[in-house]
Amino acid sequence: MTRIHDTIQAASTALMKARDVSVFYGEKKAIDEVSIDISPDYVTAFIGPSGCGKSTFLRCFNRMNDTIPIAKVTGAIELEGENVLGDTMDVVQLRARVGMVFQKPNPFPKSIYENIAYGPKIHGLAEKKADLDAIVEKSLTRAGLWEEVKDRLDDSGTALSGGQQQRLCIARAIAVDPEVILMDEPASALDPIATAKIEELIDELSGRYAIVIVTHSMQQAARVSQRTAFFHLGKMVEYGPTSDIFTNPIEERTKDYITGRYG
Amino acid sequence: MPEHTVKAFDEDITRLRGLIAEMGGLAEVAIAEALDSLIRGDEELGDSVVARDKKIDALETEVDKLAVRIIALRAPMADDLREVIAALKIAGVIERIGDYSKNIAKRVGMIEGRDRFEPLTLLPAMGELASEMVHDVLTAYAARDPGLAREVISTDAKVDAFYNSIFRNLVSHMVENPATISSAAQLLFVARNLERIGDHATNVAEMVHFAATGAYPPEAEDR
Amino acid sequence: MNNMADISRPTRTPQFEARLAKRYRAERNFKLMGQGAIVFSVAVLIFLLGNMLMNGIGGFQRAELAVPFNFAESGLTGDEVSLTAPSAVQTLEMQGMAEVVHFFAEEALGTEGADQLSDQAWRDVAAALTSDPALLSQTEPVLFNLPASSDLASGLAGEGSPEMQALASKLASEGKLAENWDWGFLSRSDATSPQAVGIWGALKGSILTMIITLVLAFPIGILAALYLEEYAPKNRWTDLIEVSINNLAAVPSIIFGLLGLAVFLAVFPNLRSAPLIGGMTLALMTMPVIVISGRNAIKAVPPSIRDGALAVGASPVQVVFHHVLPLALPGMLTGTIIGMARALGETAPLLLIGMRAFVATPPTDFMSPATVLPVQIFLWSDEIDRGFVERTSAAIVILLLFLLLMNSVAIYLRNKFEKTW
Repeated sequence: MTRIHDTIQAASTALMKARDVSVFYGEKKAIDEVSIDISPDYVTAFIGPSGCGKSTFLRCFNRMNDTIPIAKVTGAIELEGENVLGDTMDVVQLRARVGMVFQKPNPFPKSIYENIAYGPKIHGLAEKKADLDAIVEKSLTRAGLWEEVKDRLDDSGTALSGGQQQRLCIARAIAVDPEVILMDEPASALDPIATAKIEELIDELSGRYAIVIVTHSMQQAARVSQRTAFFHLGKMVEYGPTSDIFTNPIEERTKDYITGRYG
Repeated sequence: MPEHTVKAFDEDITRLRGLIAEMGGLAEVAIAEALDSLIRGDEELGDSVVARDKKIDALETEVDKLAVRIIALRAPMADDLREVIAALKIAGVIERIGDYSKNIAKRVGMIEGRDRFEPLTLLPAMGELASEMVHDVLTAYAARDPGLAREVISTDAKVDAFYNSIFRNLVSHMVENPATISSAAQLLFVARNLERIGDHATNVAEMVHFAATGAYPPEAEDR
Repeated sequence: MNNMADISRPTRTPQFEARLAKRYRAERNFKLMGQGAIVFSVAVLIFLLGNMLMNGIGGFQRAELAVPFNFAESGLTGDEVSLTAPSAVQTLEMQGMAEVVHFFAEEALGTEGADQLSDQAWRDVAAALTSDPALLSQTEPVLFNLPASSDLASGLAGEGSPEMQALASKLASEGKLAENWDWGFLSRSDATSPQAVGIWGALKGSILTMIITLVLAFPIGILAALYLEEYAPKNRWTDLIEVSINNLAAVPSIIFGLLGLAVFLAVFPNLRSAPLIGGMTLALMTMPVIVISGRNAIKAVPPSIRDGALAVGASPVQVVFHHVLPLALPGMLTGTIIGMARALGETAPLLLIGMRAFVATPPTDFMSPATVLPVQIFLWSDEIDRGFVERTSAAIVILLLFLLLMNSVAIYLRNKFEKTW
């Protein structure tokens, strides 16, 4: 039974709604009936110990769990009223609307320009080169990378530093004009300065995109998000405003985890 | 409550609480001895109270340093965070309680003819009540007991009542015996200090409640 | 650092030193063994290549007789049109070109010498005339180096009958007989006399066969690898397929020849000895190798690339062809090189399907009878005539060069496509 703080109003204007979502790996239940609303008005953070299922739940939103043969997802996830998990939802289109950034930066082994341009090209978002150039510039600017790479767009994406690569991946996700951006521990492989830049970027992007971030670092969740959900053993234990969760959590398990008394 | 995974964190918190307890104990003793010295006219005792106040000040500095260190190094959350913030504020308050006791002890030599002072007999009772408040609030702190903290807050009304009656008493005494005005004025200050000690004990009680529950006690009326 | 430790806590004890020395010795020995292995392999390779080259050098030369040919006095007729027509050589033959050449040879070399002229020697003169009809009006004699008979050639080499040897040394001392560099070897085809053979027929046959093999095996192999890795569900059937393919790669090549004989030739019975059939047979043999190396190359592409592409909204086909395939291509090309190199050198299956015909002209297309380099080498090595020994070595050198060229092209392509991720 999830403890939801009273101060959270069930936002009926939520962009994505998950209701009673469960994920099974074969016989094993990895996520147990989790419900949550996602909105561009606030950044949502998922925290919890290793193996609690937060990444698995995150991947339900853009159906990346489909790539795992033994994974089965039940329940309902809606994106602006459409059922994401149904057979009628075009997964390819879904992933253009719900983008994802991974833990380890994974730019394509192509040029920086090609990295950004790939998504718009395959979705037909730009016909002429001029349009494509505009999208590339806009995405890189929004990701805070334009000034650093504008003179070397033909360099390989893998030649950038770790922090730049991650911002490149964020720009790549932005390029297809998504509504939701899912981030799976985006800064865990980066040094503190690069991490701070990513956090600043998340701040700037929130409002335009609905951002959900999974993180191991409670400080990061505290800094970056406005709503936090604590997961434990596949269940969502507590969900509320970030400041409340971190100063005065209700559930004992939440308290133990964030004060470092867990395990 | 289970222990922190990082044991040193527990040790830091324990040490912090120990310092507060030590400060509190010293403050309690200071109140009792200050009043005692005043009533018996024991200047030597009074001087020792004044001297020992330095110890309370030193402890407050130590609490400050430890609290800042814990915040920087351990990034405390939830209870731990409230605990550390409360400890910081409580240390400051206890230090002021100590200062009031010191202030009382300083006035020992300024009172003459104490046998003739009727109000002098009320002061011990008021002092005992204030001292009890301090003692109880420190107990509440050690036990993280919000209920006891609330009781301490309610006791403050009695201390205020004491102050009012002593005040009227002393004023009428001064009107009747103008020669005793300077000594009576000193006693006024002493009573005022005790009343303030009561108020501070209430502040500490509020901190204790906040640390324990995350909220301040319901009635924060003017006292 | 060591001095300070000695007094209080000695770590460099004699036992320690002994152990350390033993470790370093083991390292050194291992390194030496490795270097020794490399040196041995390189030595064997140099020995093999050196041997081949030394034997083969002689194969690129042939004994030739110098015959001055006076076109104006030859009595041959013809003009621009008739001499460049396709039937020009037949026309010249009917005019008695062979006798004319023999006549001039007698003039230059004497009867004995002229008798030892290769009976196909006149064709060289005819070829020169058809490519340059203006020669007919030449009044000055034109010198031709015409091939000698194989008997005379052996005589020049110091073998064969004593009469031939004597004749050869006599003509050689007169400057009329010499071992010349034989470029024609690279443009002629099979013949009965070692003086007249060339390698081009077999080379072209090999090229045509390799083209068929590549065109069939590469796409099918790559697509099979892609399907098996990316799309096929992991169940018992796909396991069975995987085991079968692995086994196929190890099947002796002659079995594929039997298969070609039984199946392909039953369908196309009149295409025995054609590059098409040979290519199809070799393609069957090469495909498992390409599939296996292709699958390994695809497996090596990190899943993070796939995830990244999927997350941007690429369909599975787009992920495979835009991302996985380009990254797996170098590995696939390596597997293809290995497969093709093996196919190039295969003799047994091709012998079985009949690519062992005596083919005197180079194949014109994929359907005409042909032979391949290894088979040609095999056939020549069987010949009795002593002159064929050198020609066989020369053919081996050509085969090795062809192999080297193929490998270089493939390595160049692989390096060009190599990308880091």
